[in-house]
Parts: sequence; structure tokens; C-alpha cells
Amino acid sequence: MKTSSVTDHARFVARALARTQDEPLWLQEFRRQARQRWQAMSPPTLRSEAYRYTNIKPLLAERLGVVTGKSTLPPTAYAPLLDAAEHCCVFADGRYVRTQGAALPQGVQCVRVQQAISSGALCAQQLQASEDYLQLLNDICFDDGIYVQVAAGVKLAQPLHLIFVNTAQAAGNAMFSRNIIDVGRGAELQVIESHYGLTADSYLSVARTVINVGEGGDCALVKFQHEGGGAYHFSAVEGQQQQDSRLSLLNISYGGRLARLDSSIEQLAKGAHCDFRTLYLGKEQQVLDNCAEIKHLAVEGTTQQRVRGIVRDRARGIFAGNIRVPRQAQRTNAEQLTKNLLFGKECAVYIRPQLQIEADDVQCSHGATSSRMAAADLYYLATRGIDHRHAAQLLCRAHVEELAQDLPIASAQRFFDMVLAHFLR
Amino acid sequence: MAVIVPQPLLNITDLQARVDGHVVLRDLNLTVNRGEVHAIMGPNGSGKSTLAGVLAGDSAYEVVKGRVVYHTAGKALDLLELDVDARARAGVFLAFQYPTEIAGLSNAVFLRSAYNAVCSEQGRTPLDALDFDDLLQEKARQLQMDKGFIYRPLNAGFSGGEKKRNEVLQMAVLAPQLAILDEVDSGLDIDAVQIVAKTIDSLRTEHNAMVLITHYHRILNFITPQHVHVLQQGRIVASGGSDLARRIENEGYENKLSH
Repeated sequence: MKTSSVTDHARFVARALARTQDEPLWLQEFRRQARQRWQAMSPPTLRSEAYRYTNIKPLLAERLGVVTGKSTLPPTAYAPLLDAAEHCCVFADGRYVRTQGAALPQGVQCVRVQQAISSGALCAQQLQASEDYLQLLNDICFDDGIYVQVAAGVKLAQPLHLIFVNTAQAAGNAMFSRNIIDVGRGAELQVIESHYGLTADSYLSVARTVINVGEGGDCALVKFQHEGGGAYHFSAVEGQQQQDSRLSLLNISYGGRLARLDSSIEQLAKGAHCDFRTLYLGKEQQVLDNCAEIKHLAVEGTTQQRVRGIVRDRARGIFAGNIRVPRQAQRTNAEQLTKNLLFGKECAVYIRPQLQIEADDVQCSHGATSSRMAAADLYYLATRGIDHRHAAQLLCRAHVEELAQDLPIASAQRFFDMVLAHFLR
Repeated sequence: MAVIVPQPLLNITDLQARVDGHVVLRDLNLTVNRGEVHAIMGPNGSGKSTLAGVLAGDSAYEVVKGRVVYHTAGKALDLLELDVDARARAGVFLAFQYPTEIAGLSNAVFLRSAYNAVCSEQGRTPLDALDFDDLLQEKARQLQMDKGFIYRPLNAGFSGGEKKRNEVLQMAVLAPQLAILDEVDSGLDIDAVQIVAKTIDSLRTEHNAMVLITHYHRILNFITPQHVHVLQQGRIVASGGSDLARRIENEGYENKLSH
């Protein structure tokens, strides 16, 4: 019988740290400090504000290991995710396996994060220490991922696709990835980050992506989470925007047993724009938790935040969004709109939309709705010969359609098609 | 001289239905043959929309007794035993008095789903998006509708007239055998009534039939029904030719019913 295994996690951390002895001293110190903070911290419970609806007790009861040996991953295993036009970096069970697809243009550096650390391209400040219990584990344990640097003025025509596949070898193990993306002044980059599970067994995947968008730069990130049915997936995106930059985020959360995405965006200089979209589709007993904080720290920033959720069976969808507009962020324009659709009586959504406004010359709005599928809509479609299952699919599609319009990465349309087709099978 | 034998499409026998415990239709009998247009008129609350809802399968109405036989493809189907979508795929179409608005679902996507569902049931080849687009544009052109109309979200933001025209566009695309038109003229100005009515009239064939539910005679200026029925308190209390509708318009329901 398994017991509460916080101590098991501590042993796991010690094992993970033992693998890092050859790293630069500054990174060892970074990890040591992270471990200290993690050990001083109690795991979040339902009494913790940030985890009010997300119970991680089952995760704490898991005995986790690390993947040993090399994972086998034929390209056919993740073919549904691929688009031939993309440059793909593929990881299996947390470790890099191959690069495939289109070549990258000059002015783009794309290397494994460990390589960037060894070469001195990355420092502790760029890694950005976390304060979250699970993300601290990432600080302590991450050992792979990608560092992307796009030089000033360079514009990539095709997306860069980071594919993290968890195979049968992931079962019972924990994987930690760290991606760091620097988009230079006036540069443009599109990134897709996919997390895909090939096993229904239990495993833990903790991912963290840090994005810096330089002045006038434009970065789009699509995060596609389609982990295996037994997975615990904890993901974080941290973005920092400089003057007149644009950051477009599209999060699609679909897989896993318990999946949480923490997004934190800071607009550091005048005129930055953030287009933030989230879609979660939960079924069976899934818990899909989405937290987002957008801080306007300078004047004339804009944010458009759109969230759509659909849950069925006994699934739980959670969205906690906070847009902060302190006194210095005058002439901010921010809107937040969350809409949820529920199938059945046992599913639920928990929504906490928040605006914290201290500036007095702003335009900000927020709204949140949750409703069951309208019987009148289903009836109307039925009178045209459309059966219930297909009608429900059409109504789901209609519910998320606004998110799928004018996508920051056009080819990401395929992820909408994929999840919507699977969701109501 | 050739004798045209009527081909029955719908037989309603002793139909009784209620809503929220109140009996709304009482022992209603009606036969509709292919090639016919039947107008059903009556004052508010007489059961006209209930009849439409019962035929389409709206679960808000409970059928207490009676039988509805629908003749299609050489078979006599018990319509009341079929689910709503199965009735539609068998060729029954209801044009709504108040069509539903669904933002995010384009007319074209919705109609292709409906068209292909009907095709599959009737053994015809479903159309891919491009072929269906051609068909839809052709229908819109025939109905003198702006083709931009067909890519807009289903009824969302449509005017009253646009919604009714959209119902007729759907009818044109799905080509039902039995169309039940529930007050397609309500809320329309006289020009819009004329456009909608003429469009409906253009869809009449010797193989299909229409049940046209209306309060007013004005739509019948453009669609001439073979049969007019007056519904009162859930019963058909008078039937006649198209002149009956004109007499009702002149004399009112009360006067008509007192005869």
C-alpha cells in the first residue's frame, strides 16, 4: 500500500541532484537554493489559495523515479502532431532524441538548454527561480529542454515545434523540462510546445518555459497538452515583454489526469500587447487547472484574454485569471472573457476572474459565463437531421470558434480539430 | 381522361397532445398528399404551433393518443416513434417561427452537416466542403440571397426577415418531402413576406407537400394552398379551398366558426 510520500519525493530530489555534480557552480548553487526553498515549503493543499480547487494529494502519494536508459521513440509515434513545414526538436521522456523537419534560418540559435549553460549562453538570472512547489522541483531537477535565441530583426517564416513525448518508459517516473526563448528586438518567432503521452500509466511531467520578447518583437507560443490518461502535468509559462512587443499565447489543455498551467506575463515597457487564449476540454475524472496572471507595469499596454472551457462526465475545469493594472500603467486596455460549457450534471467549472486596477485612466472589462448545452440548440440541429453526438460536436466547435479565429500560428488549427474530434467520440 | 390518384404523405388520426398537463390538440385528423399545400389557420392558442412541434418531435409536447403515419420510400412509418433527427432524415422539415441563434457555428458548416446526414440516410453520396459550397451558393443565388449570408454564424445577429429567409434556404438545400412552415410570415413586412412566400412557392413539386401554419391571409396571396383548415381549441373545425382563407380574412375566426 502506498503512503503519503513527501519523503519519497525528497529522496527522489536527492537522487536527481546527484546527477548534477558536473554542472557549473552557479547552476549547482541555483539548484541548492531551490532545494532549500522547496524543503522549507509545505505542499499546497486545498486551503492554499492558488490550489483551492486542485487536490495534489494523489500526486504526493506517488512514488516517483527517474527514467534510466534510453527511450525508443520512432517518428511515427508522434506523427499526429507533426507538420512538415516545422522545425521540430523531439524529446522522449524528458530527454532530447532528435531534430527533424525544416532548417532554421541564420540568426536563430536553437540548442539544448544544457549546451547553452555549458557554453555560457545562459545564466542563473535567465533561468528565473520559481516560488511554486512543483515548479521548484523543476528548478532542482530539470536536465533538458531548449534554448532559443532569435537575433534582432530576424523573422522565422515557419514555426519551431518542441515535442515532448512521454513513452511507456515514463510510467512511474518524473520528467522535468526547461525552455528559454529570447526574441530579439524587432524579431518574430512562432513556437509550438507539445506534450504528448503514449502511456495511460501514472507519471509526472513538469515543464517550464520562459519567454523574453524584445522591443518591437513578436512571439507566438502554442502550448498543446495531450498527456496520457494517468499523467500529472504541471506547466508554467513566464513571459516578459518590452516596448511595443507582442506576445500571443494559445494554451490547449486536453490530456492528463491532473493538469495545471500557470501563466505569468509581465509587460515591462510601453505599448506591449498580449493576446492570451486558453482552451480546456475535460472528460472522465480529469482536473484541468489554468491560472493566469498578467501584469501591466507600463503605460498603454493591451491585453485580450479569452478562455473557453468544456467539461463532461465528472471532469473539473478551473480558471483563475488576474489582470493587474498598477498606478503606473495608465491607458491600459485589457479585457478578459471566460465562457464554459458543461455536459451533464456531475462535471463542474470553477472560475475566478479578477481585475486589480489602481490606475485611473484605463479601459478594462471582464466577464465569465458557464452554462449547460442548450436543449433548444440541440433540438434545432436535430430537426435538420443531425444526430445528438454530431450536434454536440458542432456546438462544442461553435463554443470554441472564437479562439480558433486568426490564430497566432495558423497551423495550430490542427490541434483544435484533433481535440474536438476526440473529445466527444 | 387520366385520373390522378392522390399519393398520401401524411395521415394524422385522432391526435391528442398536451403540454404542461393541458390538452392542446384534441382528436385531430388530417391527410396530406404529395403535391399539396395545406394552410392551417387559427387564432392564438388554437394549437397550430403545437401541431408543428408534435410532428417535428419536440419533447415539450406529450402525445396522449392518436397516430401519425408518414409515407416515404414505399414504407409507412409511425412518425411518433421516430426521434427528432430521424424524422428529419426521413424528409420532415420544420421551419421555425423563432429560429435558434448559434454564434460560432457557420451556416455553411451547419447546413453541410444536415445535408450529409440526410444524404446518408437516403443512400445519396455526402458532399465534401467544396462541392457543398457550390450547391449552397447555387441555392442562395436561386433564392436571390447574398452569398455572404451563408458564411455568417447561424441566425446570430440576423434580422427577423433574414432568419425566415434562412429557414427557407435550409428547406431549399435539404429538399424535404414534408415541410411544416410555422408562421414563416410572422414579424415580416409585406415586402419580406412576398420574398419569403415566393421562394417557398418555388420549392413546390409534385413529390413534396407543405403544411403552412399562419395567422394571416397575406402569405396565401403568394402561395395558393389546395386546402385550408381552421384550427380552434385543438380541433379542425372547418376545412375548405383557398377561398376559405379569404373569407376568414374578411369575416374573422369567430364569425367563421359560428357557421
